Amino acid sequence: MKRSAFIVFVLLPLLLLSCAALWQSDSTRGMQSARTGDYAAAVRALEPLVAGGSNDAASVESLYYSWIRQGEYTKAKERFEAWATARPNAAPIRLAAGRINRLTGNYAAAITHLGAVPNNADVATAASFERAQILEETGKRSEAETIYNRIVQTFLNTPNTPARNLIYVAGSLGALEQFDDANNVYRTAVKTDPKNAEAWVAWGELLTRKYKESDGIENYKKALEIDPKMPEARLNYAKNVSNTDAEKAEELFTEVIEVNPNMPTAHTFAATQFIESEQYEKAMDSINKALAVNPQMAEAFSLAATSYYLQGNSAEFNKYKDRVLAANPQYSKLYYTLAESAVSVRLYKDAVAMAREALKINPRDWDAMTTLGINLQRIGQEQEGTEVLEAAFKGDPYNVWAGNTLNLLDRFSRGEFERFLTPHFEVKLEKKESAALKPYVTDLLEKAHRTLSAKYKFTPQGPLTFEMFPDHGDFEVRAVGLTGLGALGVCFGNLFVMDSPTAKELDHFNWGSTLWHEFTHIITLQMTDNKVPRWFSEGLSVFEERKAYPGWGDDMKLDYLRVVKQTAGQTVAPDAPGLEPAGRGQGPTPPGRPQGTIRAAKLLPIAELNDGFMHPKYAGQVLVSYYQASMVAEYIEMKWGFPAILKMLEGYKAGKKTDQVFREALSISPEAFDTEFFKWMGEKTATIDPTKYGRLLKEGSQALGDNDLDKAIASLKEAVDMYPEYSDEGNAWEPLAEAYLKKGNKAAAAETLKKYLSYSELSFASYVKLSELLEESGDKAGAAKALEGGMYVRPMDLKGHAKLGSLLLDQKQYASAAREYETLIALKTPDRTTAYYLLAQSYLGDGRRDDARRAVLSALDIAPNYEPAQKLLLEIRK
Amino acid sequence: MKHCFRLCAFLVLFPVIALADSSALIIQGVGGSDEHEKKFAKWSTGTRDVLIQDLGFSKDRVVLLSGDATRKESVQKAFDQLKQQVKAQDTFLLFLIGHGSFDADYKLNILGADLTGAEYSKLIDSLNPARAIIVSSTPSSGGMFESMKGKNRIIVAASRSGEKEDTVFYEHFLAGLKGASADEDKDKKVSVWEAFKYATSAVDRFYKEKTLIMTEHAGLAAAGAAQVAATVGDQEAPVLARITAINADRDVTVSDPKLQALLNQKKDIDTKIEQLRLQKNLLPEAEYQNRLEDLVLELARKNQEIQEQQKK
Repeated sequence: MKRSAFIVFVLLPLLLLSCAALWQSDSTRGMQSARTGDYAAAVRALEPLVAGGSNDAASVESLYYSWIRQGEYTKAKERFEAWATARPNAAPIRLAAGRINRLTGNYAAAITHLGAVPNNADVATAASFERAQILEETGKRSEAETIYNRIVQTFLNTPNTPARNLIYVAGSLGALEQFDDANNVYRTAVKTDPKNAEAWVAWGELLTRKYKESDGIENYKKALEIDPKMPEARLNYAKNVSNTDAEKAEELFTEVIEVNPNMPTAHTFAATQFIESEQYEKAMDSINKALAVNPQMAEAFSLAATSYYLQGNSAEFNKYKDRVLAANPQYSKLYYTLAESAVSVRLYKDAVAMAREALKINPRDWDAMTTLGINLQRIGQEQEGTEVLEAAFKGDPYNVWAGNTLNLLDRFSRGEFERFLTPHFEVKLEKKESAALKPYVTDLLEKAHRTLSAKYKFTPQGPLTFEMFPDHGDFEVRAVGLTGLGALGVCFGNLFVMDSPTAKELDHFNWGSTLWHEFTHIITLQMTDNKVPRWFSEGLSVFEERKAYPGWGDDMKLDYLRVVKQTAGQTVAPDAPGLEPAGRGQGPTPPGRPQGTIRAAKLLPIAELNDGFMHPKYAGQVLVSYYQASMVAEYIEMKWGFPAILKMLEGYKAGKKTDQVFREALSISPEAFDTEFFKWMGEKTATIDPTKYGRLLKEGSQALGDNDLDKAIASLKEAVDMYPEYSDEGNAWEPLAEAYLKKGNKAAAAETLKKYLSYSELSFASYVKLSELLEESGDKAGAAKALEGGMYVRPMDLKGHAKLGSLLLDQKQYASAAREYETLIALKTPDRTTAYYLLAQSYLGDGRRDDARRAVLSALDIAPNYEPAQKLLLEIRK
Repeated sequence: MKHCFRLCAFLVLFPVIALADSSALIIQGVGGSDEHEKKFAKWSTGTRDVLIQDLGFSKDRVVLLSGDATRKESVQKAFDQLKQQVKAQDTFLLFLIGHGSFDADYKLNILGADLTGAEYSKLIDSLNPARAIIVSSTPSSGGMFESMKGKNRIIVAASRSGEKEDTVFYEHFLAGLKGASADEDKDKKVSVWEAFKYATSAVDRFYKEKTLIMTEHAGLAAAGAAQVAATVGDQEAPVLARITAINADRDVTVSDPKLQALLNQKKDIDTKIEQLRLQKNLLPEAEYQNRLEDLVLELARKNQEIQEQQKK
């Protein structure tokens, strides 16, 4: 007994002390492992302690995170449930049990556990916050707000809030849309505890939510410095770079899945990406993985609904839509996501309808409200669109889309843009250049409307609004709400907007072909109720550019040649000397997207051609895809005739898929078409040898420099005969024309320039030179036509307009001549007197006697002694 | 009415003076680089040539100072020599071409010590011409408005005092003089205002076409008043600049009294038109147009009479 008593009374306390010391040591080591990403070691150290009865909040939380960050949801749930049953008063255990039940969709059980946490417990704030989030996720927003408010009030009324609770205070403030305060509290939280990775991530989420993606990334990096494996930090980082650096996003995502293969939010992120690239089956796989962990996850149901909406499967769409609303009746993001998806497939009216649904569910869904405002603008409902955007921006003053768009709309309302009507369009041009562009823009818009409506046997429904922006940034904002858009023009079905000529570097932009391209979209989108696939719509737009004016629309550039040759299995030299690929036209490929190389690229099968536009895999693939799609249209017209194209558009309007459209309109499967088409393209390029072209160009240029004109002409002629479509910088056409001129053969020079300009749309100097040569040869109509081509490159060129006016007047084309002189006057020509006088002549010739009188008086107002004008006035007054 | 008074006042101040003539001094400052030397030489010789070939100046009345002849002493000496030539009824033109700077006063960079705007002003005073036209192509040339202003002077500056970048204004100013391209009112003369407007409009297009930020803003000041930009309407333009031609100022007289009478009648109609134009902003558009039309028709018929008389 004595011996036993000794053990009991003397050794037991020592033993207990010793065990406590061991616990302490294991606990510290475990928490350290959990905090630094060694989750397995953390579990090994902490599980025995918690199982052995430790209720230390930090240890329990560390164990919880160590399991869930490895995807051990089932184990975590089993253990915490068991411990909660055994120790119902252990607040940290009940919190962890609540959290794991929330994560796995057992919301009722989660609420029960969290409700058991006493108000005076260390983890009471965490439990309240968790509870509020569950209420929010299950459609009880007002109850959640009550709790968030309580957390904030407690914080305000408590002098020394423990540092561990600051993250929940900040989260509550964020949920209550008090973003500045939330930001400040997060800042304090990480300042107080710079090793709190969860605080860095939560703060990053807030910053991301408020459009500070790059700041958010910095926060995620901070978290990863502390815990290099933290899946939440990596996943959020991946989300923030997914639109700008796909490779980095993919790398981060892979790392997330390696650490936590079951993470529901990682799988919903993957599903989003798959839906964007129209890989719906893979998207459903990911959605199902998320639902396997949390069968009540509204976000996963919502993505499934979106996927089926985009596939046109209304039964499945409705099924998942109902599931979303059953899980969370206030989940307005369902409709917001659907609205954004509708935008991605250019169904702007659907986007408006979806955004309205979102707002019915949650009138404070500012993202949905912004989407509604922007898309109301796109479908021509400007007034309501502006009002909605103002309300959205008032609700969320951080929203850059709403802010940017409203700034631009303010400029409209301040009168910085002139609005005018043509017979079929409402046009907005910036006042500074409106007068100068108005005659040409009006002329070309109406010509496009007339030509394409007749050709496609379809008159587009108004109102049709056309806008041009001299500031590319304004165009970008109008098009997508943000800057960074590479395109030159965008069409929304009724509204089409583009850069104005002054938005671009001189001689790098043909505004006429761009306008024609965008108007063609109006036709093809409206004809098919916006159901035409992107590739076909773009292809027809480039195809119609080519038909509209010689030289408009891309021809086979060097990049395209390479891809066609690679597709056809033809030899491609690594680099063709003397030739540099030129990236112009539709602008650069979106930054960060393509990571592959053109050196291995091939033309895409019809079934994948949309990806060339939406998910380019190498720099330049978007441009290659424009070209390919346009050549598909050319091939169809050549083989089946233009009516087949109209039949295809009818098929798309009827909701048919591409496979069916091809089979019905062309009696061929897309796969068989691909085979034929690739063969046809390959035949075009078989004899083109870029290396030889480069050599001939070099030889010819050298000979031209040496004045050995016969040799120059021979080499350069061989080059253009082999690869006539090469018209970018360093082409053989221009030196060949120069050689002919030096040789004194003006007719051959003119013929060369004419051919060159049937492939190029940007060489203003060549348009002018050709015009001069044709005029000299007596072909004034040809001279005028050539010079008119130049006006779509340099619409502000005074000499060009003056010369063109004179050529047109000479040919008695009075209406067109009047357009030139109106433009000259608007451009503030230094010789307004002559311009008014010739305008008066043009009006008189066109039968506009009153206008002629006013114009000649304007000339005489400046120069009363100008005799030709005096004589004209006398003639008008006869 | 205010405008009308201004015009009448100028017509009184600047009556047609018999035997008036024009003299010009062109100072080509130092270039500092081959590129600038070439450009300034092109502008300077171009100015000399256009004055003689296009604008009717006598060769002996156009002086070009360049290279070593642009030292302060040489410039002062040139003015001393000009004193022998420039009469009280004459117009004197000073062209400052090169680099310029502004620090309290404007300076054209020449060899050795530079002359200030105030010193140039005194030198012009020493000639005592009826009118002086000063044109500077240089950066910071707006700095001369204050120090060189005077009641009979018209000052044209390529840029504001704080603008230090190279300018393109003068290239276009010169182009406007060549072949009288800037002669908007077709009177076969290029007024200072027309040349200024022509050049500023071309500068504006230059920067727009190059999509560059505009780093030069030309200005014109006349008769001691504040400077204006070319964006002001013709009605608001300084009258002295509108009625002063850069062409050599020589009067034409005729011996046929009938023709002289017709010319005088024509001049009366011209004056009526000018007065009407000054009231343009005060009249309803239709009324202005009708009155202008009547006067112009009258003028057209008078011109026909003059031509017929000239044939006799």
